Amino acid sequence: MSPTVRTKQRLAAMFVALTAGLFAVGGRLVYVQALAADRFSSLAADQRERIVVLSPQRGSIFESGGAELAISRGMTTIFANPHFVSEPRASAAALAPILGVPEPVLLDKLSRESGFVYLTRKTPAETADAVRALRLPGVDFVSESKRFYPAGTLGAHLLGFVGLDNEGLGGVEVRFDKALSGTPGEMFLETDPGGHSIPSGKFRLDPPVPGDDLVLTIDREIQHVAEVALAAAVEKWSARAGSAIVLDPRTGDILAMANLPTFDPNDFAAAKPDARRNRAVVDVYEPGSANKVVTAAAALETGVKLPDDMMTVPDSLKVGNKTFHDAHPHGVLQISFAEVIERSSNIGTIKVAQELGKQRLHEYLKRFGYGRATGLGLPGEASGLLPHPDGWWSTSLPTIAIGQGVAVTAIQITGVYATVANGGVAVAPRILKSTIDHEGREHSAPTSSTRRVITAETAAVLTDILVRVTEGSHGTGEQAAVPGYRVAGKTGTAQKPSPAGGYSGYVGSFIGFAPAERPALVVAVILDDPRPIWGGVTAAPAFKEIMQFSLRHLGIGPGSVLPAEGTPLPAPDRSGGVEPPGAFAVD
Amino acid sequence: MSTAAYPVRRGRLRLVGGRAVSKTRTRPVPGVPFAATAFLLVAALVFALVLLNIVVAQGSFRLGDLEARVAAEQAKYLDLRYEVARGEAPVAVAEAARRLGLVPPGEQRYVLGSPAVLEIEREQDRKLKGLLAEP
Repeated sequence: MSPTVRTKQRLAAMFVALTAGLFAVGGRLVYVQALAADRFSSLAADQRERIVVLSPQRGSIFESGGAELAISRGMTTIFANPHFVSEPRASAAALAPILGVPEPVLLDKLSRESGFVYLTRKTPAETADAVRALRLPGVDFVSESKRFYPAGTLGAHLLGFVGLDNEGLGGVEVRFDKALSGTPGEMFLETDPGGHSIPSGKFRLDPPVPGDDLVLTIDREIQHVAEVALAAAVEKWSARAGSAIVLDPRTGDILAMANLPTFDPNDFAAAKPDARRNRAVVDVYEPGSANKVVTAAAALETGVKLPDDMMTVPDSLKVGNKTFHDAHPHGVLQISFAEVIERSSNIGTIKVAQELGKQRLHEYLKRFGYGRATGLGLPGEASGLLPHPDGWWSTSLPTIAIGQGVAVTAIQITGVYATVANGGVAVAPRILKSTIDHEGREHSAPTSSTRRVITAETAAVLTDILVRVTEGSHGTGEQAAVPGYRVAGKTGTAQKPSPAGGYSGYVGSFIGFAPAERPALVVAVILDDPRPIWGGVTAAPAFKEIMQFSLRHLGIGPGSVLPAEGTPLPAPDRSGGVEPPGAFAVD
Repeated sequence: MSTAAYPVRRGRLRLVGGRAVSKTRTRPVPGVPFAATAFLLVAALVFALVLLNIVVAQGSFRLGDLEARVAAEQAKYLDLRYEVARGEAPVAVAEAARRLGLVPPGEQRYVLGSPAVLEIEREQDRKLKGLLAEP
């Protein structure tokens, strides 16, 4: 073969090879640029583009006076990517004393076959700074907010608490979780391979919308005094637990709700579940003599009894196969219906209930809200127990008339007395006064629903009878009297049903309102298993302390000096100015 | 030798825009200055572009710094709010008062006027309101 021919062949082969190569490159180009363009551009975007979800600031919770009860603050979460941790043992040893986490736990985390592990969450800035100074490879930081309750245990059961991801887990925090949470935002940005933002890259920010702030009806000072008085009563009378409620009967606003045992919502995990329970709305109990107010209201409203109607009252009475007794032995008494309530006579009340009949008694119990939740909406609120009259035994009528065989929550029985205090009109209790949106606009919460339960006349007569409980010579609630004020109320000492059947232990209570002439406050104190058992001895003094402070704190003078046409008496002037007409503070 | 024997060679003429222009009159553009100018222009453009990018990046970093500072100040504000709320909590106030030797106030007592006195006061009140209401 001549050299010329060989050259031509080589040229031809090269041409073919180059052409084939060109076609291959061209083909790949068409594939990358046209056929699979979307896939490749998406892969590139995945490497470059990031969407960061921005958590909104959780709304604060204020008491009615504007003081903060719950607030969210920025904290630092420290995490690690174990793939980038070069020396897990040394890193764990360096981190352990700063984080306060045992070294083996950290070593285990840093040695995992995982791309992400939390080392600690929501730690203070000082701790984060100390870790940052170590410059450990694979250890990184992210900002998160943490819930704080600056007043500690104050109103803990009512406020509730939040979980690690800021979700409401109890009380108001869960009741209004949606409003408090706000709306998460989103940040879209392009990053380099090191994860840093490219300044001139694409960027879009949808800022998060912070949650609404809540203004509760709670009064911080009254709440504190209620908690202190309740704690003193629980300790003094060796009670197992207790609840106290302060409520404005005119608006249904709850001014205080205290429970014992209590807990610190800043460290709720350390508390036993039993201590975290809001007993005032979750627990039901048999109200005992405090229930006689319903029997009395029904008797007055239906005309079965007038206050001065005389009754023959022995100290025991057999109904069906059961013999009922009064709390203290006595001979046969000739006393008025009003005195039956004043003395808290079981037998007198049972005799009234027998005249009333089970249908009417059941109807009035229902009217007063027994057997259904108040609508407060706090988590776990119980409805109480009210058996249908068709299922009552022969002994049910007398039993229920004196407050056994039915069960209520503390907030329900407080509502019963609030209804009487409010002239026979029940106002649904409420805890939320207003909300403040992220633009600072305040929106008032809807006013509570109302319904008439008994006439104003019946309520007025009943109030006079209940005043005898604290002022009368045979009254069982003498220790609940507040000097200078007329207090209407009722003691309660009820047996507790035992899980094993029958009864075991007692609940002592005092529930009442003041000033009787123009009621502005209802206070309930309920003690679980106090020693002695009597509500008039154990719960009444705590009632007095709470009521007395609340009246003074809110500037509510004795009812008899309130202007007939007007508003409540203004707060006594301590600056030496003129006192309101008819009332003079002497110390 | 006579010049008339040889015709004078002239440049070929052509019609451009209605005027005859001789090809011999066009001059070639000088290569080096043109290339230098073009290079300078491109270099200036590239430099300006880089500068602009740096300025934008710098602004972006500054904005980032400012945003971080705003976030830090907001966090500080929340911390201070928390401290104030903690200091004002009733338990803290009661403890501080106890340390200062203060005690809770005693019972407040009221001297109540008799119904007759109250009625006189109400009458006076009504008269006062009536007087105030008069134009």
